[in-house]
Amino acid sequence: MARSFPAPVSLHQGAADAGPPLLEVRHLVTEIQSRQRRLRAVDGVSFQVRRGEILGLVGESGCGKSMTALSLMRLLPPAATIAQGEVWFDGQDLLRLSPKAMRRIRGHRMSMVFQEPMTALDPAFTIGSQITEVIHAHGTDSAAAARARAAAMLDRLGIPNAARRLDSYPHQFSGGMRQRVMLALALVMNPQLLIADEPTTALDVTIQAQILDLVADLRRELGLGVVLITHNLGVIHEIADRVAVMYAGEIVEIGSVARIFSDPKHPYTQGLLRSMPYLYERRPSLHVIAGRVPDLGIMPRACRFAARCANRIDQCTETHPELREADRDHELRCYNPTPFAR
Amino acid sequence: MTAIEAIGYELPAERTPGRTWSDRLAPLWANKLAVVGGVITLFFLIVAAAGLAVMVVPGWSDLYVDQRLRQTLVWPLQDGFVLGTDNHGRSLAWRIAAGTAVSLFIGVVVTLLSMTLGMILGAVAGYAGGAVDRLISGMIDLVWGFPVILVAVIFVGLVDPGLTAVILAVSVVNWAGFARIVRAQVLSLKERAFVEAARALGVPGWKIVLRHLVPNMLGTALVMGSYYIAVTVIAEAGLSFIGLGAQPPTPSLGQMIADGRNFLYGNPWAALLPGITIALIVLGLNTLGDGLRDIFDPRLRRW
Amino acid sequence: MSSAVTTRPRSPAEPLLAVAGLSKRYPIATDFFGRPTAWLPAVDDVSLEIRRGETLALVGESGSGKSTLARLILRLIPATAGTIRFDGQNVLAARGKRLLAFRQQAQIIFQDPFESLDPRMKGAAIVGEGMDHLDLGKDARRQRVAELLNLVHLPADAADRFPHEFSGGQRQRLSIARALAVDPSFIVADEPVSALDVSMQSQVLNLMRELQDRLGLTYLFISHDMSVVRHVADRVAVMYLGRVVEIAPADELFTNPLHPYTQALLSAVPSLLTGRHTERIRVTGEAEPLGGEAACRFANRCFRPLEVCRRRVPPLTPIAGNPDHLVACFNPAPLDRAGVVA
Repeated sequence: MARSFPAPVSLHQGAADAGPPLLEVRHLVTEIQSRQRRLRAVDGVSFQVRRGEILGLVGESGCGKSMTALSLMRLLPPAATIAQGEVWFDGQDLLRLSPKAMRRIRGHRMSMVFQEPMTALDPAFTIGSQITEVIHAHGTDSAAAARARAAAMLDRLGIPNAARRLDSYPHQFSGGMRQRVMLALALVMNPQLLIADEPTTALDVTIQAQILDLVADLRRELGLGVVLITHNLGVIHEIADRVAVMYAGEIVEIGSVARIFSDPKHPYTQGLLRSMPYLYERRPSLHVIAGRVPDLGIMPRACRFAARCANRIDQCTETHPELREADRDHELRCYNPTPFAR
Repeated sequence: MTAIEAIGYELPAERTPGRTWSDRLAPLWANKLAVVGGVITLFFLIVAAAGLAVMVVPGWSDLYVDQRLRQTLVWPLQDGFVLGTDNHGRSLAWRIAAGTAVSLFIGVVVTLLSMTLGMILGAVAGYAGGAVDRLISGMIDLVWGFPVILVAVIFVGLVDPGLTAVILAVSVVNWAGFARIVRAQVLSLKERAFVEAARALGVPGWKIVLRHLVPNMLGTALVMGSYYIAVTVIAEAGLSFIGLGAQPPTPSLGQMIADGRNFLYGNPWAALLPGITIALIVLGLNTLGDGLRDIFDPRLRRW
Repeated sequence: MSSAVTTRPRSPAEPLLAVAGLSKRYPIATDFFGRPTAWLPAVDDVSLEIRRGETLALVGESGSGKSTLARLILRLIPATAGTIRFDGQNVLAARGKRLLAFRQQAQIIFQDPFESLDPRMKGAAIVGEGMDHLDLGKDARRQRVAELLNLVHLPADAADRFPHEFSGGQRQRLSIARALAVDPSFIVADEPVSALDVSMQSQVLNLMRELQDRLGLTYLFISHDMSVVRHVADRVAVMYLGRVVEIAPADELFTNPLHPYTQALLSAVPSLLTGRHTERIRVTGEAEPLGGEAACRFANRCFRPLEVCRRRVPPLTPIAGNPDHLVACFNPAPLDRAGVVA
């Protein structure tokens, strides 16, 4: 069955402008302190996001994608620290900012939404007071103006009767509505960058579709740059412009969605695409990526995917491959790329 | 299955850490306070062992019962007495050791009794639900509201004042504390998928309780146990202080405070030292309990 | 299309499992004396059959009642009304030995492989959990555990390991081995791959199919993921708020969905998985569990409602020309664009 993936939806594309990148991450290294040693959860990750661009960060659990997101926001858990790297946003390196300066940026110029909206909202306060709290933290709006602004944001995100729902509590909202409230909290200060960590994973598919449409609309209207973190390749293909595939703390392939889904070159990317069940065909068995992700504590010095790779050559077990340009807007960390056959 | 696919079915070559006792105890070591608690508790266990020895080994009892009428109310580190003597000229050091033995013995016995009763009743209430649950929960609420002193007075009326009355009185109240927590734990555990899987396999209820519920609650029980021993030590001291507990010649820390308070001008240490001992025992047990809680708390667990 | 897979031979005999008028309602409000005054119908008058050797997929979003239905069928929770016949026997009336016999015939695999294994038990104890009544000697028991581990492609030393030492996919295979230990003919798989990464997911799906072919198992496969369902199902039942709204052979359901909810579900699947772009049906709103009794539960979200939909409950009836395709809708209609599968 020789069937290629459909080209990504065109109406979502081409919103990114050509100016300097909005966000530029250079060689980010984030380490976790375990009992005896420091483990590298994120190891030398670099990427750029432009205005109005959605970058998908995709990988399986434990690949470091959420750690990357938390590093950008400087919201890491106590055991984790950023060991190296630069995160340039809006002309400054976020990693060099004082905690106070970082707080001014967070929620104002760049925001984050999480997977589980119930735990991220305080059950004891109304939605309205939580949103106006953000406005007051970053602006000087009067109480009435802040409330009006909050209502306008909820309305924009498709919450019916927005002005009245401001006085509701989180538990009075359904899962999809709570995720809209989370987006309202993140977007109310009109940030330039949104970091979304599995924003639709906990939602039903019909609701997921609604939220993805919303994010796509927002970036088009507001010129929002988005880092979308997910394990779901279908979601990436649906709304992202560019995609970075992460494996064991590293980016192994990065490029435009059009290119990577039509011509994936890294064996891991290929394996992921081959192991998914598709709606249009029923195969006798699904492809299995052999083996498992190496533990952070015993990371191979050479290629981290080599043990699971069917295209392995000698070099793969000897030296560590660098991320190299494979094509226009397509970088790859592999010594022996082979054409994709499904 | 192809050869390359077979790799997918391998377990990691190296066993993941977290199985050995040294790994298990790592969170305890990491918790400095818990180490201090453990050391203090261990110290008083040794003291109690010495106390037990002088109480049971024939001929050694002279050490703590002998009255030296010329050497009453000696201050610590005087006349060869490490901790001094009381108003009868008895060695405070040996009396405190014996009192510690009695306190910890009562604490452990009461806690074992109330833990057994509380775990059984709490587990039954949580697992059975319905009318059984309402009955047991009612009993828990009733008993939990009772002041220990009141219950002790009742038992002293029934049996004579003494350690038996203390054990019964404190156990009757304390089991409810265990039962409450255990019931809540069982309620959440029985919703877990592995319990549902066991039910689907036709495993009988009592076996599910023994195999899945009890082992998964042991951590909590251990933590609660250490707190409850401390609570019981305080209760026993209080009851002995007002004369409802240990009766002479059985030494007791509470009783020693009661005796010593009449001679505060002669030798304040006779009352202060047993008090400090109680405080340190309780401090040790509680900090140890906090450390154990960190070990067993799944949210803090790292394996 | 790989037709060799979709047409597996099966006996025309009576269904293995027949559910009729099955309901489960929970009290959600009580009066002063503790008598219920309002009910939540979690499963509402469900009737369906599962044929020997087939996989019936039960699809629906959160709150659709699919997991409740599974637990009702396995008698893990008591039913409010209805009948269940398994292999000709009345399941709801079974007691003692007959209930135990049913338990050995009907097993369950759960979604979360962390939750479904007792963290304090080793592999051998987990797999051997259901063997108590078999009165096997120690050696015979060990032997049987080894056979089962081999059957699910786990190495023999898995018997001596604790759940946390396994990967998600391996844990899920361990729960499959536990279910197979009592030699069942019917297995309910409740979202068995939803918590797994793509690469683990394909291992488990392949194993489930292999076991079905080898052991002649019948599956009730619960999922919210349409592409996984497409891969495993012979027939599909779609549930919405406690009711079955459409049931059909898989090929028929994916090529000719008739209920507007089924159509919405399929159109929400990312185009990466459907293989082509269809204009998404934008279903507004979310499932509201407390719909009026005498109405179609989907009426408030439907994109082609009739007046009658708000007054009566649409019965589940076969469509003209295909007795195997049943739909509960007053206005069933094929969508020209909804032929999601070409």
